[in-house]
Amino acid sequence: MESSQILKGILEGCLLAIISKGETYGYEMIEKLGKYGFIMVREGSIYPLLLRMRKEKLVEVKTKPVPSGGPQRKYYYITNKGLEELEKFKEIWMDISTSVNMLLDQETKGEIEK
Amino acid sequence: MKLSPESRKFIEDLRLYLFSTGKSDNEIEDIVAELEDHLWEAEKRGKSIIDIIGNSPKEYMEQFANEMKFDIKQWTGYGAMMILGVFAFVLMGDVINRDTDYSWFELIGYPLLTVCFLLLFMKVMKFLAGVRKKSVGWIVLLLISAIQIGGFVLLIWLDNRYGETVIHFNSTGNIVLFCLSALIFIGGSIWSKSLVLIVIPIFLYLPEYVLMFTPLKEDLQMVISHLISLLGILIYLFFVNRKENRFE
Repeated sequence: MESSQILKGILEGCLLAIISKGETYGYEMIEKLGKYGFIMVREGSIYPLLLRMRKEKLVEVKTKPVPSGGPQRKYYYITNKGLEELEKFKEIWMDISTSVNMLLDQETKGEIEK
Repeated sequence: MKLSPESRKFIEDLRLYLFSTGKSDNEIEDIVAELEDHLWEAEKRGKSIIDIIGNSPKEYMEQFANEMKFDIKQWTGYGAMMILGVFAFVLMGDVINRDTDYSWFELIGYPLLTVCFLLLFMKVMKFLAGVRKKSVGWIVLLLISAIQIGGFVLLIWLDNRYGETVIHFNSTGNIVLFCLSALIFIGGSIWSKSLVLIVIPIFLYLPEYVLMFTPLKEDLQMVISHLISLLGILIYLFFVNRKENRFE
């Protein structure tokens, strides 16, 4: 459970980053995540997160007809609050990733020295 | 747009699960529409429902439920509507049978039983949404119906044995009660946008009422009116079901 909680937090930050680049919808977000190698993310798992982000007013939603015709589709937009949250996420992520990388790096070096 | 049977089953289960955990109808439809859109795109590209929601549909449904609040306003409305509905059915039957004397058992018992069964049904629906075997669903539903009928039978028995009349209606009172029940049925039909609450009372009470004026023996009257009621309601439900399936 622990690891999935961490992953959820990271995924939320990544979704914010994707939405901040312009209007997008669920399936497109999954495709974009896939391009960056997020294949460990179960496609459906973004929707409960998007729902929470909407409730926290980090994103907004507009429903529009699909360009190719057919049913309505939900498009996501980032809010100012969402942009602030994204900046916070970036800072935290930089700190964590630098620390983790340094630590892992040193461990490998330590191994070699032995 | 036609999704695979597995996806459609999942969507129906999700709807049932969220509904029975007391979430708002609008919010549920919103989520369902978005997931249908996703499943549609994914199935076009040859993915299966397991690729999307994982191996445990129940766990996935819970993730949604955790993000949504219990809609008190909506469920107070449903509860009130259920109590009114039960009252209307009981009252109309009593007026036709000229049995409009009420004891405390009935005045408290009927609303109490209705609320208890509403809560029980919510729990059962939530459970059923996570059950994959149809037979289990049917057994549980039968069991619940048996408990429900048992509850009402017990109430009627208690009332006959210990109940003392505290409210009695005369013939004017009966007409008022009848009109009140009819109004509740009409109101309920408008509210639920379906004819169920008009058709079922008609099949349930009209045969009984009409047969009263025939020279037939009383027990024969009862058998015939029950048969007409049962058959009429079954045929009506059959047609409604067929119509709904055609729309899918």
